[in-house]
Order: sequence, then C-alpha cells, then structure tokens
Amino acid sequence: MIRLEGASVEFPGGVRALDGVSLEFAHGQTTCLVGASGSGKSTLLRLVNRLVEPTAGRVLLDGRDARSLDPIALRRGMGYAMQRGGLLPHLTVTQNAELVPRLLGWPPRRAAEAAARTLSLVRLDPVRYGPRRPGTLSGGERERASIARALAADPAVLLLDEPLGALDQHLRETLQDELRDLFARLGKTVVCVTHDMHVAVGLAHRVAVLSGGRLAQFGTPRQVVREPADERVLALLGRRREALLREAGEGA
Amino acid sequence: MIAYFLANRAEIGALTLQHLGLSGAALGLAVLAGFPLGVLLTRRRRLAPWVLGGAAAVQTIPSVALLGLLLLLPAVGGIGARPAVTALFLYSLMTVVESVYAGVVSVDPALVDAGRGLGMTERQILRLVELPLALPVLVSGLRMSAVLCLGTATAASYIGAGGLGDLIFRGVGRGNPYMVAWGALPATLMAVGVHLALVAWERRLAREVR
Ligand SMILES: Nc1ncnc2c1ncn2[C@@H]1O[C@H](COP(=O)(O)OP(=O)(O)OP(=O)(O)O)[C@@H](O)[C@H]1O
Ligand SMILES: [Mg+2]
Repeated sequence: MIRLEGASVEFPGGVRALDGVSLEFAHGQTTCLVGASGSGKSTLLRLVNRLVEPTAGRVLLDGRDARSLDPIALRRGMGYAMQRGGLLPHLTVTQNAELVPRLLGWPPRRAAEAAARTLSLVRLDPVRYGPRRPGTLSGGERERASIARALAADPAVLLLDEPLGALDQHLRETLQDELRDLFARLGKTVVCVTHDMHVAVGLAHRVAVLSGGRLAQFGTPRQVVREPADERVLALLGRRREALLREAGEGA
Repeated sequence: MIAYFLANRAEIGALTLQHLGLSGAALGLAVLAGFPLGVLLTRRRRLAPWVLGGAAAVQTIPSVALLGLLLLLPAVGGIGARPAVTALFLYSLMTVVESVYAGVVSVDPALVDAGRGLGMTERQILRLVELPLALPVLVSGLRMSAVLCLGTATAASYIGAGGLGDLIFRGVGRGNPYMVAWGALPATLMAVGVHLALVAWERRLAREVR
C-alpha cells in the first residue's frame, strides 16, 4: 500500500508542483491521476519511486517512510514507464525490455523469456519488433514497448506516465481493456497518469484529480464524473461529460 | 621523388614507425588518463570550466615552446623520446578530457532519468546510458587528438626524439625538397587514414544511437 501524507514538492526556484497531497493507492487497485498539464501528475508519480523527494510531508510504502528504504531496490521493484517512453535509443526493443530483469541479476535466458512474454502482452511480436531500435518504432509502438519494459520483472507496483497517449482510439481502447484485465488478474497496484478522462474511466478503480498541485477530488470514476467536486474538475470533464457519464455508468 | 624513396626507403620506413610510435604512445596515455579524468569532471561539473579552461591554455602553447620548456624538467623532460611523448600527451589529453565531458553532458537528461527510474545505480547509468550515448562524440575527440598528434610529432625531432620531423628539418637545412616531401607525406597519409577510419566509426555509432 502506498500512502501520501501531506506531501509537497517545491522545486528550486519556487515552483510548487505538489501542495499537501494526502491519498492512498490501495493494494491491487488501479488509480488514475488526471489533471491539466502542469498540475503535478508526473511529479506525484515520481514521488512514489523517489525520483523526487517530498519537501514537506511524507510517502509511506507498506507503512514505512520511503526515505528509509534503499531507492535502487525500491525502483527495481516498481515498474516505471515514463512520459514519452524513455526507451534507450542505443538498445534494441528486447534489450530495453530485459533491462530491469538484468539489473535484478536474472540469468539471461530468464530475462529474455520475460521480455518476450511482456512484449507479446502489449501486442508487439518479439520476433518482429524485438531486434528493432526504438528510433524505428511509431509513437504508439514505443509506448507499448515502454509498458512491456515496466512489466518485464513482474513488479507488484506499476507507475505509468501517459502510457496510452500516442495510440489511436481503437488501439487505445483495446489495449486499455487488456491492461485492465491484466492488472486485475495479476493483482498489480497501478498508478497511471493520464490527461484523458476516458482512459481513467476505462481503466481505474479510483481517480485522483489534481489541480495546481492540490488534490481536487479523489473517488471512483463514477463519483468524479457524476459529482465533480468543483468547477475545476467539471472543467476537466468538459464537453465530453455526457459520454463519460455513459461509460462510467456501464462500468459501475 | 620516386628515386629518392627507393634509395632511402629503409630510413623513411623506420622514421615512419618511430613517428607512429611517438604519436601512438602519447595518444594511448592520453586516453588512459583523460578518460577517467573526463568522467570525473562530469560528476563535478562545477569544476569543468576551470579544468577545461586550463586545458585550453596548455593547448595554446606553441609546440616548439612547450618542448623547449620541457627541456628544463627532470624525469619527463630533457631530450629524446620521453619529453616528446610528454608534450604530445599534454596536447591530446585535453582533447580527450574535453570530448568525454562534452559527450556525457550532451546526453538527453530524460534518458539518464529513465535509467535512474528503472533502478540503475549511478555507476550503471554511466556504463549503460551515458557512455554508450556519448561514444560518437568521444570518438570524434579521439580522431582530433590522433590527427593532432601525428601532425605535431614532427616537431619532436627538435629535441632529438626522431620521427618524420628528422627528414623535414634535415631536408630544409640541405635544401632537398624530396627529403622534405618524404617527411611530410607519410605523416599526412597516416593522419588522413586515421581520420577516415574514425569518421567511418563515428558514423556507424551515430546511426546505432539514433
Ligand atoms: N525538475 C523540475 N524543476 C522545476 N520545475 C519543475 C520540475 N519538474 C516539474 N516542474 C514543474 O512542476 C509543475 C508540475 O509538473 P509535472 O511534470 O508534475 O506536471 P504534469 O501534471 O505531469 O504535466 P503534463 O501533463 O504536461 O505532463 C510544472 O509547473 C512544472 O513546470
Ligand atoms: Mg507529466
């Protein structure tokens, strides 16, 4: 279980990216972080794997202050797909997917099997796509390779930053359904950043809405769509609220 | 021209090898010392302007003046091959340090961040992300040092270190243009050869990194 208690992040120069955020990512559940650009979504995600440290408040992982844990081990235990993928351009897709298993010291055979398995999972044929370099992939393929890399070592926690941003609607919906089933089946704790409420409604048990670094609302997708906490949340739903209401209604 | 070569090919060959030896030794030492120094500098970036500034200062000393100064120093100085290698080493060291630093600094911070996010240690980030991505810049630094070494090594003849400079200076002294040409030509050919080989390598690396 991941818990933030009054967590704030102030970057040098005085930018307050997060401001007293308290919330809990329940075990085995998927939480989507939504909010406008610059609202602090990526920063919140990176707080969890200690790529940024809170300047006030704290982050608790299974009840222990994250600052008391070894950051290297902590990060290897959490799959992280960063915004725009972050694939290493000098490595092949397979080598990228094998990275965390190799860092964990898995034998090469086992790492290769894990990479092939997760690439198939995101619908990238390991034989066709594995030997290619990220620079030769389309944006959507790159995103999927990045998700595969995050999944390869079978971590209990997954941190996904805009994992489906570059996909067309059809593929996005397909992959979204598949990921939801996969996360549920494997019991993953997932924190997924998206600016798209449709993704949140389709994927999440819980939605956290951020606005200017503050937590504007935290609830089920249905609650957020039906009873937006304030105008800022309402504004985020925008004109698509009708469609979202329908989608959220079906789900819940 | 051909006749001169045929009559003196043993000497030209020997001096070419000597030339190559001086340059190679200096370059090898420069890489051995410059590589870790460059890496260290990327970990202490605030020192970089000072060190690189000092390096530039060394490089602006004319080679003949540097060799002259080295005459006065014990151990690494004096006359012969040792001060010559020292001088060439000093010149190329800075190019190596600078290219390691510039290469690593030019790596996209988002990729360093990706490595860190996956759970790499700082050492692994260096080995698996920064250095491989810096390699094209590194090789280009190596190329510049190599060409510089091969060119400057002719001056080594001044302090009795041998090399193709012998032919050039002797040729000038005796007014024998063939002698001068056969001193300059092999050095030029080697420089061009090394240059072309390393440019090809750079290209291949740049393609792989993209
Ligand atoms: N390293 C940093 N130094 C200074 N300011 C930063 C840094 N990282 C983020 N910020 C600032 O913090 C705020 C929140 O950034 P963050 O990346 O978390 O936003 P986001 O919600 O992920 O936005 P987007 O949807 O555009 O990715 C922004 O104003 C950003 O400019
Ligand atoms: Mg972001």
